[in-house]
Amino acid sequence: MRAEALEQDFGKVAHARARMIAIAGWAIVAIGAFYLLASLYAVGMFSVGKWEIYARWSVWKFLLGGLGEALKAAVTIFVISAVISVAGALGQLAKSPLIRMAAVAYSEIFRSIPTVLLVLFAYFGAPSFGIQTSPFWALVIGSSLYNSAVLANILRAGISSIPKGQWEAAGAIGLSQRHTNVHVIWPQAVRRVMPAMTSQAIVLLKDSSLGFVVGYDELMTRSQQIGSFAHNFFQAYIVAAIVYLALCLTLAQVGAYLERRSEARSRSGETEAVPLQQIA
Amino acid sequence: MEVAVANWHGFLEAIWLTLRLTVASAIGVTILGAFLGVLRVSPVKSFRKATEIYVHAIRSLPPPALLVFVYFGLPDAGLTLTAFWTTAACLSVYYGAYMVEVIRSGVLAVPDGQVEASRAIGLSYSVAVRHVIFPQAIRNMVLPLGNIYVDVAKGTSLALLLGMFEISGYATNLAVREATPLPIFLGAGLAYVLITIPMGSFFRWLSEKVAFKQ
Repeated sequence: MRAEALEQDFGKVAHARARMIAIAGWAIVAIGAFYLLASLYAVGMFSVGKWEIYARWSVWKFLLGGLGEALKAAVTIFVISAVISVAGALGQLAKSPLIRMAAVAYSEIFRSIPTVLLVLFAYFGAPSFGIQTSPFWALVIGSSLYNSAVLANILRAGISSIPKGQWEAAGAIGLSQRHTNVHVIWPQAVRRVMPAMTSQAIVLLKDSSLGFVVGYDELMTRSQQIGSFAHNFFQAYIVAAIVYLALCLTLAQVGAYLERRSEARSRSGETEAVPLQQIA
Repeated sequence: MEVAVANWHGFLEAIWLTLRLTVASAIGVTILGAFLGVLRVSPVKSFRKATEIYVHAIRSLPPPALLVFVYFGLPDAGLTLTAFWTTAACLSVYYGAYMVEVIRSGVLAVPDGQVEASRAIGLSYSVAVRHVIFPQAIRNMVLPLGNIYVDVAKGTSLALLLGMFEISGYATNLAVREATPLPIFLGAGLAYVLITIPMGSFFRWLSEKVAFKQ
């Protein structure tokens, strides 16, 4: 139900009441915001001296370099997770119960463990396998374990949502198993899970900030360094937050654009997105 | 394996802290999420818009950044919270935004015709909301809400950034000290699996139990 559906048949009295509530609510918000800003001002958080460091290009170069590192990690994680998740999704749909169980167990287990613990494990635990992981690879391995498990479930839900008739039709026109999958099933499945994949890509990008726990030199680590250098963590983290905000909102817009375009391309109803509830 | 066994007492304390953090954060998520979620589907357009912006903004921030901002940044501005309450507050704000979306899609899944039908038989706005929309919407929310609580339980691991010894923090500390990381991390992972998988199964069971049978 859309909220508008209720609003639509409001009478004069109900409209007036809604307006009163809106005015009262916004008055409370305005008072709260004023109090907040006034108290921040009182402790000098808006003084030019605290912010002038962010007018320097060298500081921005340093921060954006950190953002580049975060993006590099995120792209690596996404590529590795995508590859593993295809195997995971195929495994979950395999005929052999042994393979199916293994694939389901992989997804269930790695979705249940916090990414930060997986990253720390990849960093401190890998030496007992005789491997020395750099902070970058610790982040990539830890985060890929989690994200491949999530993406596998998303893909599996996408494939399960394809109507049975598609397989039957492909068989009827004489396509082999492989051709059915490659040309009929997967293109539709991937298009259906596009929205879920994009939002997972954004989660993954945000999770790259966990590289900070193993000392990976990315945006969070660098803003902390600036904060301790300039003796004000408050400003440093606000700036980092703004950078993340700008990046993730842009990505969300790109995701929405891709979704609209693929919707426009496909014929009606054929590629309905799979609701997130079905995936989890 | 001996290390994990020998430190069972510390492990139990760490699990207890994780559970306390989870409950405190889950309560915060529920209160904040329900309040903002109601505004998100309210008939007041400006409230809908404002909560939508809140959701988009919060979901664009990495939770670790929120935690370190509140713990290390806000004292500069004169607000100091303990590590425990910093974690609970940040997880509430972060997952509260996700709960707003759950409420919105739960309400959205109730067909428009339900409202029209209630109005047609003469029900008032509040009666229609309470007796027609709410009972249907809440059933749509059980499963996704359960997923949020599971994410909250996992999210408490971020408290290690503030030096808290919940499961992840304790395990990492012990692993570095004892130089036998493998069994310790396995134990920690197992603890999370034992917490989150029953939580997930419970909410799956609950959502099936409350579903309307057609």
